[in-house]
Amino acid sequence: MAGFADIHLDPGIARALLRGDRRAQGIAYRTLAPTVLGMAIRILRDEGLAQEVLQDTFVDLMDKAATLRDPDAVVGWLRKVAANHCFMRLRSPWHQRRTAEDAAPEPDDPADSDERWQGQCDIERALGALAPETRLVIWLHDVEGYTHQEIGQLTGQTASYSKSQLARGYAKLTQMMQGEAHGLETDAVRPAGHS
Amino acid sequence: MDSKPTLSDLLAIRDGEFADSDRAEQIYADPEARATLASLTRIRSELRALPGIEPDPAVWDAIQRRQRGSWLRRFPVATAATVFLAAALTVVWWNPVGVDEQAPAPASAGPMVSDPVAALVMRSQRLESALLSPATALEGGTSATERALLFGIADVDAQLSALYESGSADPAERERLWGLRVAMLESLADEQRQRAVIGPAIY
Repeated sequence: MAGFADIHLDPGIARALLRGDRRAQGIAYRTLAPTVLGMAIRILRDEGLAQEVLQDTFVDLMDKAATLRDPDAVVGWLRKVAANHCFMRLRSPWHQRRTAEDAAPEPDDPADSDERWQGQCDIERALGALAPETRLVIWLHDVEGYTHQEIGQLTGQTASYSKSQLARGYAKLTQMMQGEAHGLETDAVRPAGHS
Repeated sequence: MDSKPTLSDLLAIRDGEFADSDRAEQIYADPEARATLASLTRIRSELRALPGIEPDPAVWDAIQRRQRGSWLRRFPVATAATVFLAAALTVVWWNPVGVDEQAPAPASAGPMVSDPVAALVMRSQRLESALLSPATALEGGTSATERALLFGIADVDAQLSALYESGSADPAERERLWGLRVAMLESLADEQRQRAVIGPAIY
């Protein structure tokens, strides 16, 4: 129940939202905010930044809802805006520097991993161990149903880049979740510099 | 003999994006590949099953403050004009001071000025017009104090809008809010005057 596709926003509420109705804004927020925040936290791994994304996304919604013509498009539009805000934060020099200094634990460092992500379920912990852009690609593709082409457009890269990130991420996820994926040819996902 | 599938192949098969159906069949025939496919599918299901995260209630308040603030910054004249018009219409319709409609108006002051709320509304409008004048525009953006005052004014505007929308006829509350708005606008004007004399701060 993590993705926007599972959310149903009442058509009457969506129409009222486009008219700038405050009550509808509150209802839309209560309906959609947990999904926006869930996505932002899983991609950014930083609660403060995730809350910024949540705020920016809904301020955009309130400012621009009147420009949307189709009430059915509200949830998809919001998903796109939230994904953009997440990506912009990943790309910010401040975030990149912070990520480099505060690198996520490697899968082969269970002590650090356990301490850092204690209390979180396995998949959440494993996701947190991936590189930020890999998390973004996996989340958008697997949870939000983005195509590789759409991810390429969002990130300013190619669809191949998205496929490569997905495979790279899954190589680590499968290792962490189940141990080595036996017998696979992993050339396509082998990190650069490894023989 | 066929080579083993790459992880990219298996992900493409899982996602229905694998174009070569003959090759896909060969891969399906491999028990090891099927097991890995099942694992990839399970991981995706687990990701999709992660719950949403409820935000702190304070985030909604912050969003509303920002939204009101951004609206005021984009449409300050419209905000003032709308609230002014609402106030003026209410004053005329509600006639809070009980002016006898048959009695002649005083020569020195119209009914708007004789009402304390109307006087505050007019004062607020004059201050806002002066603040928006190009002659008062300062370089260097807004200071932290100015931003705080603008947010405060936006909050008061929201309270005034809610008051008028509710049809409340509480003159004391209207006077309080308009008084607050005038006080903040005066503070904003003072702040801008000081900045004009001292020059922009270095942040």
